[in-house]
Amino acid sequence: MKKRLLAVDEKTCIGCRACSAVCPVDLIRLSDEDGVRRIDFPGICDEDCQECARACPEEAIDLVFGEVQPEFVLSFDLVPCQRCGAPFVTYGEMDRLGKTIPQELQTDAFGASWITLCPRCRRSVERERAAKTLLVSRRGTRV
Amino acid sequence: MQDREGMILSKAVYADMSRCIACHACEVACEKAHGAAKIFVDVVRDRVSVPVSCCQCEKATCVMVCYPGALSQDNGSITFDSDRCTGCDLCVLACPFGAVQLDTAGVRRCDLCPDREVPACVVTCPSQALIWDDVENIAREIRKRAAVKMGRSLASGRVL
Repeated sequence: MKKRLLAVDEKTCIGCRACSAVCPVDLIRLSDEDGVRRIDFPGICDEDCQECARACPEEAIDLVFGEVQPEFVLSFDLVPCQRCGAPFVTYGEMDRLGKTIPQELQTDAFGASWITLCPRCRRSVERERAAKTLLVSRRGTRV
Repeated sequence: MQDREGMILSKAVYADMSRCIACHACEVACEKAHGAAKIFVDVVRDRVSVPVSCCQCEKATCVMVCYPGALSQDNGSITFDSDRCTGCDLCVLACPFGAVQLDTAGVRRCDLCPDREVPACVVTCPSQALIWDDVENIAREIRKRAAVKMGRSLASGRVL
């Protein structure tokens, strides 16, 4: 008996959170553990819904009819933050960001690359920089 | 007004760090207005408190990566349409300042309180560390504050 199947193109999927976030029945599950992102896909989906396919930035998901298939998992290595070492982004996501954001915006005014830092470290770097300026100006007013 | 190359800002909330007392009142006000705080105050080296929030970049990288068009920019101001958001997380990864977060309600970033005359954080700040104005006016205010400070130190005999 033919069923409605989820076909995911492993080569184009970048491992972002879109499909798992939009699935109204929570059939697609995403988890980050030990530096690896794991996305669990159901083999079949009987819902009258195209949300995951529509949300996918890479158009990697197709809903097709075919013989029943088992659930499957896609795994993605996560890139560690260059400052704190915490894994935070898949290589596919990083690649997409690199292609979408113009080269000149990928580094800050000091020529440092921010794209390889996790969001928490980006905030810290920004704060450190700001604090340094203030500490210098305070030194001048000390008695 | 933490402007970086190619990222010039329009009307903005500017944080005068020398006045920030790390009371976190801005975070509370923001949370009350939006359900979750979009400004983050932290103390650096136990001596300086620095608030970080959306810089309203002119060339907003969060908008560039938003393929469903949930984040859009018009005349410098960035708006968010939750109906279009897929929750992909790319905007979070694309913010140079780490000022974008994602939760079940969608993207969390400072929207400058479009329904208010003055953003909630600015109204609440007890030490007037947050300034809300056009960039040129902010620059004028900063110069004024610097001049007052200089005058005070000269009057008290301190050497600058």
